[in-house]
Parts: sequence; C-alpha cells; structure tokens
Amino acid sequence: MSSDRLRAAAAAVAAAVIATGIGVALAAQSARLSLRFFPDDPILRDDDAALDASGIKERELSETYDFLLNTFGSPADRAPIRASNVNTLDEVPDSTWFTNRIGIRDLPVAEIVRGPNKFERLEAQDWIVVRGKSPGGFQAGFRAEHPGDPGQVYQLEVDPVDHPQLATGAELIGTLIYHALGYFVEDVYLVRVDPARITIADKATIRDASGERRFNQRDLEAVLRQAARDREGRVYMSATRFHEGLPAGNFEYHGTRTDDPNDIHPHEHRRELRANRVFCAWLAHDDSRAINTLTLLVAANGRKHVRHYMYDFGAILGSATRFAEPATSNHETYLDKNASLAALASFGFAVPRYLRVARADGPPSAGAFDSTSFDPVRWKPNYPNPAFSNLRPDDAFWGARLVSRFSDAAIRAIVDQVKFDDPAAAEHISRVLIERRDAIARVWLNDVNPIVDPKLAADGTLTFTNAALAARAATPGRGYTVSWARFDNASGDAAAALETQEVTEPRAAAPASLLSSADFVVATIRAHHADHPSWDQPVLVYFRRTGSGWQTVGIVRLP
Amino acid sequence: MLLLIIAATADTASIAAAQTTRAEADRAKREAKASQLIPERRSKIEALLFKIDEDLLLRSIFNPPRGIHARVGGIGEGAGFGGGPGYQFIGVPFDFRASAAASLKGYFIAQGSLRFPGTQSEDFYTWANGPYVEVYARRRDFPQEDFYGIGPDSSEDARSNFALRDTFVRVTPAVRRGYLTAGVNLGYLDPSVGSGTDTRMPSTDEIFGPEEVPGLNAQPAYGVIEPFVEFATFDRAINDRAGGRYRLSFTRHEDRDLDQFSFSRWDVDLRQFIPFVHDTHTLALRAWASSSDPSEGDTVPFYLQPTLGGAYSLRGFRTFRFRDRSALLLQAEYRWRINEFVEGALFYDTGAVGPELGDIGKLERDYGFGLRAGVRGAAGFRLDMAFGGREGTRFLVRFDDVF
Repeated sequence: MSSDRLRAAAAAVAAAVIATGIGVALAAQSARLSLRFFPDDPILRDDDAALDASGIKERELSETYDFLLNTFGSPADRAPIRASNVNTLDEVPDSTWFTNRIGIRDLPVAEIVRGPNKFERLEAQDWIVVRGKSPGGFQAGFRAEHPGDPGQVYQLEVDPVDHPQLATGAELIGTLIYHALGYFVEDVYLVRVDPARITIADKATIRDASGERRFNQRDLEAVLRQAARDREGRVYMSATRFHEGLPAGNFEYHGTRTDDPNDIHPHEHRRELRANRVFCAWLAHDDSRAINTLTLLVAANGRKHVRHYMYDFGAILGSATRFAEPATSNHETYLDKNASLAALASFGFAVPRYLRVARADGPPSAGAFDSTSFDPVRWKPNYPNPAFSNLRPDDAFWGARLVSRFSDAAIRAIVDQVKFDDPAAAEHISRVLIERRDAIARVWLNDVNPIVDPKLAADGTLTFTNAALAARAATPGRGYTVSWARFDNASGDAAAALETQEVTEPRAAAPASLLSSADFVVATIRAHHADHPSWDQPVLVYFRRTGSGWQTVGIVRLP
Repeated sequence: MLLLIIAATADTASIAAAQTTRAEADRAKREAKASQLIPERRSKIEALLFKIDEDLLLRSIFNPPRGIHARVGGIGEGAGFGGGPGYQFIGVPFDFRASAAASLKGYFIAQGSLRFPGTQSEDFYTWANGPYVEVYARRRDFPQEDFYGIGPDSSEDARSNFALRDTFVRVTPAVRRGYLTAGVNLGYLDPSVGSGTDTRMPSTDEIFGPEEVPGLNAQPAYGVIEPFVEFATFDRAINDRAGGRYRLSFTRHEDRDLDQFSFSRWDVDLRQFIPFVHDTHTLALRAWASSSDPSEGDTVPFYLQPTLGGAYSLRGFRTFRFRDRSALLLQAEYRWRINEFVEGALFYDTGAVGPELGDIGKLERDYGFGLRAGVRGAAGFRLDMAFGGREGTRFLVRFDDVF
C-alpha cells in the first residue's frame, strides 16, 4: 500500500470516525430533544422579552371589526388542547403578560390596595386639560396634567350624575384586583376635583367628526354636566396614569402578533387569557374584549419588548360607565342566537331564567351587580371571546384558585379604597364579590381533581393540598388513591404502577424500593367525593431526584 | 461523505443544540419567528371599519359638527326616498345649519337655521341650560300630497293629490332648564296649493271643490305665533326605555291677506315609556290631541289641518288618510328586547278626526307587529306590519321610530 493510499485510507477512517462522532452527538441531542422534562423545568419565567421587538408598529383595533369578527367569524384555533404557555407544573410562568402575585404568595392587604400605583395617594387639586377624549370613548372625560407630576398625562373620567362613584369605583376596584391577580394594569387614582380648579391649556385640542379643534370651555362644561358630584360640589373622577412606553395598540384574544418575535403562543391558548373568563365572570366584566387591552413597547436591557395590559375597568361591577349595566349584560351576548330566537318566537313572554330570579341590585353607587342571578358557567361577555371559548376545566381551576385566594378582608379593603360616600354601596359590592367568589370556587374548584402543591420529601413522604377544601368549596371526601411508578424522562414513558395506596388524608408514603432506584417517579393521585365525580380524574405528579431530595417537576391535571 | 452527513443533519443539529433547556427551546422558536416577521396590517374591511369607528366616518359624512355633509331622507312623510347636500356649523357662539334635498317623487325642500348660543353637541343631554334664540327658514315644494276629503267618513276611493308649496320663517326665543324647555315660535308662513302631479290618481282640484275643501283655491300668508312648553325626561343616553315627553302648544295662525283663514290650534302630545322585566320590555304609550278653532266667520284651511294615517299615526291606513279640524290619536306599543340591536313590537293604534274633539265618535283602529333595529332602543330601521284597519294590511319600512 502506497503512502498515498495509506493517507487516503486514514482520511477515510478519520472521516468515518468524525461522522460517527457527529452522529452520536446528534443522536444524544435528539434524545434530549424528546426529554419530557428539561433540566430547567419547571420554568418560572417565560423570557418573552428575549428578542428585540422595536420594529413593531402601533395597531389599534377597530371596535366594529372586532365585534363582527368574533361574532360571525372563527378567528381562533378551537382545538381543545392544554394551554400552551403553562410550565410543567401547569402554572403560568411570569412574562410580559402576567406576573404571579396572589397565586403564589400571601399578598399583604397593604400591597393589594396599593396596586400598580406609583404614588400612595394622588395629591392633585389643580388640573390642566390638554386634550379631549378620543371620539370613540363612551365615558365622559378628558386628558389632563397636574403641576405635581409635570409632563405626565392622566386620563380623567367621571361618574354618571345619578350614580356617584359607580364607574370610578369600578375602575379602581378592577385595577387593584387585576393587578393582584397578576396582570399589567395602568395606575389608577380616585380624585375629587373642584371644577373651579380645572383649567384648559392653550394648546388643548379635541377630535370630533370634523377633525381636530380647540378644546374649549363648553367642552369642559359638557363633561362636567354629565358628572356626579359630592356634597361639596366636587366631581368624582378616576385619574389613570399611563405607564412609560410607546403605545403599540391592542392585543387580540386570538393568534399572535406577526411583527413581534417574542409572541409565539397563540393568544387563544394562553392560560391567563383563557382564565380571564373566570375573573370577568367574577367581576361582571362583560366588556372584556380586545378593544379594552393595551400594549406598550418598553425598553429593557438594551432592547425593546411588548408589555401587555388589561385596561378600562369602568364597565364592571354593574357599571356601564354612563349608567348602570342593563340586566341582560353578563347573561347574553349582543347577538345571542338562542336568546334572540326565544325572545322573537315568544313575543318576549319567555322571560329568561336570570331575569326571573329576585335580584338584589345595590344602591345607585353600586349599580346592577348581584349574586342571585350569577351562574359562573353561564356568564357571557358582550360578544364571543375566542380565548374564553377555549377555557378548559384546568384553565378554570387555575383561575378559580386565584379568585379564591382573595380573602374577605382583602376584598373589603379593596372596595374601601373607593371611599364610598354611601356605606351601603361598599357593603353591597363587598358582599356580592364574596358571594360570587364563593360561587366560582364551588363550580370550578370541583370541576377537576383539585389536588395542588404536591411535595415529595426526602424521606418519601408525599403531601399535597385539596384546593377545594382549602377554599371551603367542598366538604371532605372519601379520601385519595395514590399509585406509584418509575418514570423514564428520555422516553416519556411511565412503568407499570408499583404500588397503589388508599389514604384518607392528603399524605402518603412512596415505596422505598422505587425511591432508591429511580431518577424520576410519577404519582397518580385520584380524589374521591360522592358529590364531585370530577375529583376521580387522575392527576399525574412527576418528581425528579435532586442532590437533597425530590423536586416536583410536573403536574398533569388534564392531558 | 462527511459533508453529506453534516449537511443532512445541520438543521437538526442547530435546533437540537438549542434545546438543551426549556429556555433555549423557547428562544429557538422566537428566533425562528424573528426571521419571518410580517408587519401588522389591517385588511381593507378592517381599515374601513376603523375609519368609521375612530374617525367617525359616517358622522363626518352625514352629520359633521362643521362642514359640508350629505343629507338622506327627512323631507317629509310621503316624499319617498331622497337626499341632498348640507352644511352645518355646530359651535359655541352659534349653530348654523343649511341643507337642501329632493326626492325621487319630485319633492324638494331647502331649509336653514341659526341658533344662539350654539349647542356644540348633538347630544341633547350635554346642552347648556339657559335662554337661546333660533331663526329658521324653509322653502318646500311637495307636489304629491295625498288627500281623501275632510272628515272621518272620507272614502279611500276618493284618493287624490295636490301640490303644496310654502315658505316659512320663524324666530324662536326659548329657555331650557333641565328637563323643561319653553318658548314661543314667531313665524311667517306663505303657502300655495296647486294641482298634484301623481298621475295614478286625480288631482284634488279635479274632484273636490273649494266649498268642500277650504283653502283649495286661495291661500293667504299667515302670521304665526306659537307658545310651547315641553318637559322631557326620556333620555336614551341614560335609560332608553323609561321616561316621558310631554309637549303642549298653542298656535295662532293669522290670515294676513284674505281674512278667511285665521284660526287657533291646541296640540297636546303626551308620550310615556314604562319599562318592566328589568327594563327589557317597554310599554310605550302616546296620546295626541289637536283641535283647531277658526276665528268668527273663518275656516281652517285643509292643508293646515291635523291628519291621521301613515307610518307615525294610524299605521293601518295610508299617509294623510284622514284630516279635519281636530284629531285624536292613541297609540300603545308593547316592545320587547330580542337582542342588543333588535327589538320586537306589538302595537295598537286608534284615533279619528272630526270638526271638534267632542264630535269624534267612532275611532279607527289598527294593530300589528314590528321589528326595529338600532342601538340603545333608537330605531335606525323599522319594519311594521299593520292589520285590522278596514283598508287592508300595510307594510311600512322607515328609518326612525314611530314615537
């Protein structure tokens, strides 16, 4: 064999070795690709600010188009799949959409009532109008600045004459609750303004159907004429302080933004948007549509990303901002097919059930907000919302857990922030919020197997909590069945159950033989209650061996 | 071979390499999307609807606060479809409106008004309290007004038509305080009556004589004075199904030329809207009475007599089917919500005309069913089907409320 041949053969062997090496490496990578749990699972933060999104342009939605699209069209994927943005613990990681607050810790009441606000109180007596509200705005108001916060524009809105503190109170309560839940919301303050201390900036403008013109004294008077006042003649107003960032329009409850590289989860499959249906039902937030969302392009770490806001809570809690909410709201969509046909065919004599129950609407400041006609499952927004339509029992369970974590004291403290002149209004709203919270817990905490917070101690003791019991939404059941098996993280397969235990308390002991030999184990937990057949659905809980014991890495409540 | 192997697996390798952690896997998806970003764009339909929503496109076309606009309809009952141009300025110092419109049936109207101070808003609820003055002028040419004779016993077979042309100018000083508005119209009316142009029926002057139809042959100019008071609690912006509107007016028409047609007229128009079943149903009631009293030796000209029949009164009868010096109309509608944009209605109309209100005996009547489409109870489209009148079933399509 010549040296050339030898060199050629050596090269061939080397190439084969390298190729084989690459193949082996790729095979290993492929194996990792199929891992059920990655080393960093469960992720607590979805880094959806990772890529620069400065190229996006503002896109405001057409209110009419949004209505037509969602009423007559099918803009979203309706596959009944698990929410795509949950982590392996079936929880929503923090993101530009959501920050876990009351769901993961006991929020002090002081923190809840502070909400997103920069200031503890807004000391603002003098206001300078800089702009009228946009023509589409329904609630009367304007945009203004006050000398104590130079350069910062606030949106000021008033209450209807016959319903003092109705819309402004709803705005604040909604803001505080949504913030505690975990959403991004703008700062909202309630102020009482002496009309004599409102002035108009020289360059203030307003837009109407003929275009831009100067905002004049008559415009101000028109707003004030529609405004409720307190005994001292001051106007009740909500003052919304907009956060820093470039307006990027609204977000929709379906699809993704095609110009935002970070937006990869279809909105109709985002859990915090699906479960928003639970929160909207709680708060009678029938105006929960894309038009009442905001996105801001904000800068951080040398790049820009989109932050997603819930916005405009003036039409919740029985308020329609300019009047009390009609009785049909929250019970029928605008073009509710079944209700329309029934009403048409019966000449209006077939009165819907929700109108036949004795309603206990509150005083004028509380609006048409009741619990007697409230059925969480039958609750409806003004028109179909694709994320709401995709709500699954596991999404609803997640939402109901958050709702149930608002204590009576927290709810009353939130409502007290409005400082209602009529104490009956505060009492009514608090009571109805509590009753509706409990109704939500009873329905949606029992619609799946409600075991949560499973932990496997180093000594093999399994503990967990029954969320329905913790929220007093159910009585104790017959107990639990726990099955144990080895889990292969590479293949995603679980071995046959090694042992099955029946326990009456939320506590069990893992088989020692399993713990000594496995890197991953899976416990299948069923709960049993005669009144709640859904409890029998198995919840799969995955544990990973760590240096000091076992880490809970996965929960599958519904496949 | 090496190159082939590497090339064949390069993509997989890059993806796989990016997926050693969940964070990296998600980042890989985002980077993949970053390579194919598409600017967000509105479709043409969405862009149009956005302009309608945000730029108030329809309002800017049909009812802008300032500028030229298109006018559709509103010419007069029986005028048929029509439209024309307009201009308006709704501001602080004054409101000015001017428009002209013509219909396919040859109707024409030109009108203008000037109001001090201005309202600045179309929203009545936000109008300022206090005194105001309005000047109004109108010229109209209605060539095919229906006429069946005077009195409750007029015959459908006597259907004829006449042409009515008039010029009207008035000044109205008034004051508004909350729900209450009171004022007086001071006007000048110069009418003329001619032969009707509708060839499907005879002209009024062909089958009726001036002895039967006062004012058919000669029409004077009138001085008009009309004090009025109106109390309106009904406000769609606050509650579209509750409240009332009550209007009382007294009108004196003074014949300035012929000393034959001076008369006084009382009008009472009461409307009440009573909601029930949590405001999803409404009982809408209307009572209207009008009585004209001629001066000694004078008569009330037929073209200024109150009429019944048509889309706003007795719906089972043709427009202007009945006329006389006095009229009484009672209307009741049971309205129910079908959905946010549609309302159903069962209605009953009854009324009659006569020389005096006390002379009115047998009342004409009709009943029917209707559908109304609109927002917050304000009908933008109305379809009424009236039965029960002795002259057959009538279908009515209008773009406003009956009352």
